[in-house]
Amino acid sequence: MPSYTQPQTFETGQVVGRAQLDILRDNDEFWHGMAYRWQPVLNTMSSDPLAGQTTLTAWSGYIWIASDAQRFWYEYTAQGGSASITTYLTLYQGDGTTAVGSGNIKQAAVGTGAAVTYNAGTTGVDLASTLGTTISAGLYCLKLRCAKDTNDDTMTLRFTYPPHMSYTGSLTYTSPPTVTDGNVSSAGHFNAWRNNDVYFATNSPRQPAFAGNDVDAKVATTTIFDGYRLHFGSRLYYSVAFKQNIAGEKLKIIYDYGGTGEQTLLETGTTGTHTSYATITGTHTWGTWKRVIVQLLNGGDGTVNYLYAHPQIGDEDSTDPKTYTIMEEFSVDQYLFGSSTGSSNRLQLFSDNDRHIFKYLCTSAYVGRRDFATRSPSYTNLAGTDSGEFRLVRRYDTLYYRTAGGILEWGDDQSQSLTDYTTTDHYQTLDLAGLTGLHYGTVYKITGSELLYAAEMP
Amino acid sequence: MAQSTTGTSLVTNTAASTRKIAYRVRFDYADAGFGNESSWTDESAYVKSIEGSLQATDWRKPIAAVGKSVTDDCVVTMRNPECTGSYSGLRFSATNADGSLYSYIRDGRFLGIRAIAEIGFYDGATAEYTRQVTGYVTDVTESYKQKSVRVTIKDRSSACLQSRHTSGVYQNYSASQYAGILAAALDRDPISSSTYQRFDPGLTPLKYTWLDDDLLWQEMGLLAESQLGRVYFDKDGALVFEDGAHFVRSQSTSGDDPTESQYTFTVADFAALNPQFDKQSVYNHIMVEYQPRYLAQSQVVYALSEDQLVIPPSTSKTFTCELRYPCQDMSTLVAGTGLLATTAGGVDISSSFTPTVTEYAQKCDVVIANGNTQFTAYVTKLELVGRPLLSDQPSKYEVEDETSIARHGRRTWPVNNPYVFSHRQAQQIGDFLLQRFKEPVLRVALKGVRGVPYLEAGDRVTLVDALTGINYDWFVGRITWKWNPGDNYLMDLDLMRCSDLFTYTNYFVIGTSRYGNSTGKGRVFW
Repeated sequence: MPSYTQPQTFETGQVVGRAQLDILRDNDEFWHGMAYRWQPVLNTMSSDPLAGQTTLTAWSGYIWIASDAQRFWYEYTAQGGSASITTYLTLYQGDGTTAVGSGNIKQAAVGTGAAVTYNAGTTGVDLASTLGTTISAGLYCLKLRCAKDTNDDTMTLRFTYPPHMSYTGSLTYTSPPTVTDGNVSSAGHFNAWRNNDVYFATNSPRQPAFAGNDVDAKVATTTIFDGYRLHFGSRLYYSVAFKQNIAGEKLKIIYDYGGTGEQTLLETGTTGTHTSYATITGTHTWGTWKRVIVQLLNGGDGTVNYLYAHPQIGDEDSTDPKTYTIMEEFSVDQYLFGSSTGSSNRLQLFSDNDRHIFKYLCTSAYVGRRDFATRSPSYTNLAGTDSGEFRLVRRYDTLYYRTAGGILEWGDDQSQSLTDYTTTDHYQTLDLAGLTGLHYGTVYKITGSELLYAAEMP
Repeated sequence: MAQSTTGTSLVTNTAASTRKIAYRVRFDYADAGFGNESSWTDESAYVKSIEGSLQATDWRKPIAAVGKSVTDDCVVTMRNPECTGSYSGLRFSATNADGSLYSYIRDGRFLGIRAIAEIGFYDGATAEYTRQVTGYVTDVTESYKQKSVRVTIKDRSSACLQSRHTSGVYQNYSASQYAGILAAALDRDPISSSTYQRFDPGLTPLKYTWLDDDLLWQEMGLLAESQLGRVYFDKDGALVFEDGAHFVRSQSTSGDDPTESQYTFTVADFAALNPQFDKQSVYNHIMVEYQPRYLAQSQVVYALSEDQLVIPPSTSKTFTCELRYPCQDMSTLVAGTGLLATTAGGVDISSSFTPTVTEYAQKCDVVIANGNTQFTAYVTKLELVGRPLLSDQPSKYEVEDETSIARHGRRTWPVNNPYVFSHRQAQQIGDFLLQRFKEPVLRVALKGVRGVPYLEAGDRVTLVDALTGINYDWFVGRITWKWNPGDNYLMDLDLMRCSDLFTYTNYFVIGTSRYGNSTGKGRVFW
């Protein structure tokens, strides 16, 4: 499996060897690839309000809270329909029913006027202080819900970016040094590269599952998937299945839905599974949340298997002065160059590449260490046992999941039954390395009667 | 490396045409320990002769043969006179209860006593010494006829050859950090003080390490091999771990600097000089096996396989659970879930139990206390949950030199070392060994050398001889020496030519070398 090797600390007086340098080099290659990984569009689709009910759970999902990622980020919008509503954003234990601490993360009354947006501000939410209790590492349930008028079926309540946790550990990124030929070497230079590798590892992104919805629509325009991603790069990979019930029905993928750069990436009336990618055009600010929806027009049966996005090589942010340069492996007996541009493994490239990796792997403008909440795939108006599915690209060894009747499927016909969650074991884990043929990079899916959470973690 | 002569006239007196030998032998009968040598007993007055040797194990390979040690031993022959005063027995006789040392040396107690032998020269009326061995008495032979005793003293490694230890899993330790763990785990005189440690940083990090009843000295050798270096106790009793770059790295203390010649030998200094290219040192095909490891998910790593584990009422038993793999992140063992126990009648009395678990990498000691005062408990379930450290299929890095094979035939050196985890590390070891051993190394046997007491195995020395055309720097591979009163203090040396071991002398040193290809530049090591 591709992996990172933690370099050891460098010391003044130490002789530098090829193995040590190539570990730094290999790590940069690893993190570069990780920065350019496929990233799922996170499912924020809300449930519709129904007349005759006094409450609505608009969104329910699970979130992994690590001991070193305790800052919570959210944003939701709400609007009363026939009467005011009271919204609640609440954290529950892994059982999904026992509230954590005292009160809610957010509680707000919203009138019938213009939609109101609530969010975590610019610094996020310290869950421990907000809820008045220590948040131990583990799986938690998150719900966005409201109390509403019985007959109100027009109110709205939905997330406007996927809720997630961010890194609060003690490590920081070190601005890498400038190394100039002719200057005396310094252990500080090497340790800056080494420490950044450790920082990158600590900020290694968890991989949430893509939660794919499945809908048999009856009305003119039905949204079968609604989600968000941070914009960067120019490609969206998709796999969607479509079946016409009657002639003229269509399936449509729209990027930056409702935004100034709204763009239809796919519109098709052709039945079958469409697996390809689309190029995102227009002007979009990198690092801003973009809404991605999939619609069925005039009815039809649609399944969103996955929506993944990532930047292409050569597709970097034009404002970024540091491009990534592939370094040559080092050779025994070669001289160690700092800034000589003619040398393809000059040490300055470690600094330049660290800057590049940091920006694309870790900064807040991009999807660095964000431990996203994941909701269940929804399946509406369908008969039978179909339940939507989780899809993941294998990137780590351990899968954390909360499912019932779950089956992990990969390859042509390979599968692995998953252990159900219980009242005491709110989640289970699976050693992916033990599954024959489930190689690193393989796209696999999880189906089951209850699909509540799935994510790979290092 | 060469011992410190700071504050002495040893260097001057070593080269002096007339020199007066000084010597001292001390024993720690009263178990005061290293560091308290001033309270040890000085037996120099009884010394008849003294000799010793200092050599790299597997010394036919060059001094820096990876993974090897340096053994240091010394044999002191002492007079064994009758005691005077209130004692009447022979002083060093372990069987005569009337001897003054009887209580210290009877019943084989002489063996294992700490001892130090020193030799040097008088500077005027002042004796100046360097230690020749710091270690333990390993053999004592008494001669009734000659009224003498022959005492063998070996370096400190002699006390840890059979030391075993069990530990947890250490992740991402440097070689020097791990060497410190091993040193502190020694049973006899564990080494935790920096006074007795000289560790190089190591060349590659150790992703996972652990001990499971492993021999500590053997593990130190494997650790050294994985870092292309060696490990040994020096003449002063310090534990030394040198990585593969040690011999090209200058040191601030000149005596410890392997890049600086410690002594120049000319024809006046020796009786014989025998150069030899040593074919036995040739290896032209290196195979290094490595085994990547990864930490798997949490799972049951031990399940009780015995039919019953029986614990009487109000008692506790310790049960050692051997794990199939090294593990970490063990879950707490909870009575009622991981541990179930019943009476013979089938009544669940798990709640009466308070298990405590002491974790090691590959075993757990579980103390199970049966708090029930009425019934014997039968443990029906004991499961330990943790994250096993699993290994992928081993891989091999292979490298060879065709020219050398054509000349010398294929000579293979297989390396199978549990501390080699990655291709990069295997490549480093393989390429390093091939470069070093693909051609014969020039060795010289110097006989009848005037003794230089501060030299150690691994020191750089210079040898100049017009007849053979030799004018090179050499590493000392072996020293044997001997002295007795009225005779010369002489040494025999085995030397290896430095340039045969390292092609270059300007490897890149952090803090000294400059980046680029100009003045002060440095080359990348393996």
